[in-house]
Amino acid sequence: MPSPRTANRAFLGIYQRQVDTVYRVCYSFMKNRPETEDMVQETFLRLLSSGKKFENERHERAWLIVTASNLCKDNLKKWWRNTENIDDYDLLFHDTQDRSDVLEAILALPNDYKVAVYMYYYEGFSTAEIAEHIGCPDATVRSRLSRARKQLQSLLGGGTR
Amino acid sequence: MKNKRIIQAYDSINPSAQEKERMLNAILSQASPVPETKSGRKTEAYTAQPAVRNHLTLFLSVAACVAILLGGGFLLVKMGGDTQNLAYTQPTDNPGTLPPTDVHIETMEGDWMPTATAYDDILRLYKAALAENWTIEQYRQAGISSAVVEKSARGSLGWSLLDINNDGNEELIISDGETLYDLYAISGEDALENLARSEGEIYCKLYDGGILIRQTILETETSWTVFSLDRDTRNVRSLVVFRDQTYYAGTSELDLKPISKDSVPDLIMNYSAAPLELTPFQVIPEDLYADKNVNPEYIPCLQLYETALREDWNPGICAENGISLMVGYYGELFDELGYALIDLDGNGVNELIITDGNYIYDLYTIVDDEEYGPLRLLTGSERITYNLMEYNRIFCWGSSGAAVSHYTFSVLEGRELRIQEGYLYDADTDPENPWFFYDGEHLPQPCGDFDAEAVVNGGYMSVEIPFTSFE
Repeated sequence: MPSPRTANRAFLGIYQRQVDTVYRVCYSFMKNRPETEDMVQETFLRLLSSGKKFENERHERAWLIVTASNLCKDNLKKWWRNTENIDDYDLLFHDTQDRSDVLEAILALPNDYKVAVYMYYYEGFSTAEIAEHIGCPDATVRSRLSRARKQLQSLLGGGTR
Repeated sequence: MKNKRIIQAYDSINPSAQEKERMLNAILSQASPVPETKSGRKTEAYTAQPAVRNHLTLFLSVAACVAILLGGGFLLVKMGGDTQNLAYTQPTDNPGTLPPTDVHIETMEGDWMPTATAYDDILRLYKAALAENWTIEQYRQAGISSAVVEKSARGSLGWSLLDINNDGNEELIISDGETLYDLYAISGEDALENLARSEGEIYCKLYDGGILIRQTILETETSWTVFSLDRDTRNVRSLVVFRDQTYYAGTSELDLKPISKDSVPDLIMNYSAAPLELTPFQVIPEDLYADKNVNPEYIPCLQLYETALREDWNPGICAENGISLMVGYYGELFDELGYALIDLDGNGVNELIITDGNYIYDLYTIVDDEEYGPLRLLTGSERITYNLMEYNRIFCWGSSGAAVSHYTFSVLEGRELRIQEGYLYDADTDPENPWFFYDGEHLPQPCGDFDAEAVVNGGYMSVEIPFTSFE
């Protein structure tokens, strides 16, 4: 196994800067830590294989967020997940006891909303920036945020604005 | 705009230092030392047609397996990341004792194929092939069984998941209940393996617990091999060969003995049918809408939207297929998109509205002289949106940039939407007085900001459209 010391220094820099971000995004989809770790690895492996060059750190972060969310969504569509009881994952990993109400509400959002919510409310990207990165119209991002807000408000009783 | 509560929620799931180190070590252990080559496991970028190269290779391997079964040799197939090698190695030590079950398929790490949704790529290829009436060459290029082309009743073709090789995972079966056209297995993480395929002179059939492969060689020799699968090992139950006008039987080429023609069926056909429950590729029966008062002429339209959502079409594919590109943004949100049937023009025939309850994405009506089915009256996009207003009026907002927008109110008359009134914001023409009013008949006239903005920003309220979701 190669040592981290021999690995590409630039990659290690990106990993250290962005691993928390990628982890949070993946967790919001996978909802348990073991599968989140798998998807974080997949995301950084995708980065390695892509040879992607970034304009700046913000671009780097956005690319990783979108890539991580796409990989998670793909993983969640795999046929074998449809044949199993997904609730078992939570039971299996006993991962729910520390979640706040807000986090539970975020995890309950439809997958298409999650990346917009994370980029907008956590990272502070504008809707135009989000739209550019995920490749959809600005209006769609705003629509998703609006619907996500409504769902969060209905679950939490307001106060997420 | 950051939100404190959401930030706190996300911060509660940050990885620990141990987790970070563990993930990094795992990444570095899997990463190719030269990542730009894109040849290693998990480092290969997902490609639009991942199935083609791999499945061609796998097909060759299956064909080779059949050939080797006939020859009674030992097969080792290795498939490199960028090359396709079929190596047939005659065993050097006492080949006569080598059992034919030692047929082994080995896949190198370079063949790990990232797939978005396991078998979805294969199913998508078959659906496209059937819908578009592909030629044999197109089937071959896509790496799926071209024998489907010769099938007379393609409507019965379907797929099923069944654990054929007892590895605990279900394999994908493409069949019409009789012929086994394709059999795929997940042989490892994200790797698909083709275990059997009917194509050309090879015919496959699935039995309960076994597979029959019939192959004709140069029109002079035919063989039938019946075998079961135990993970990646083939256990040959019987091998029948017809050559030189004589039938031979055994379990390998080495122990073949002449038999009478009458005993052939017992050897290759005396097996019960596999318990297949096929899901047809045409999955939307027309009677799905029969109890919902849907005009039959609208059913093909609705099926198109069902397909778009089920197959997660992107906006571009939606537009190419003649439906609103906005449908492509719904993806998995089946329950948020649906249809409504409302008689907008009072002619006794309902119009079909594709909607999320707020926006009208597509609007269809039926006109007597329309040769090709319902007529689409409008389609929404990112820059042109439609809403239903009181008295069945349709509000349209459109924009061609920050300086130009239009807002119109229309009613359906026959096969046209007639504008009753409209407001145009055109700062390019007159930045000082950008608002114009249009009465539907005369040229737009300048009007005051107050009147226009009062209308645009709430003078009219859209009505919620009750709809039946596609889910």
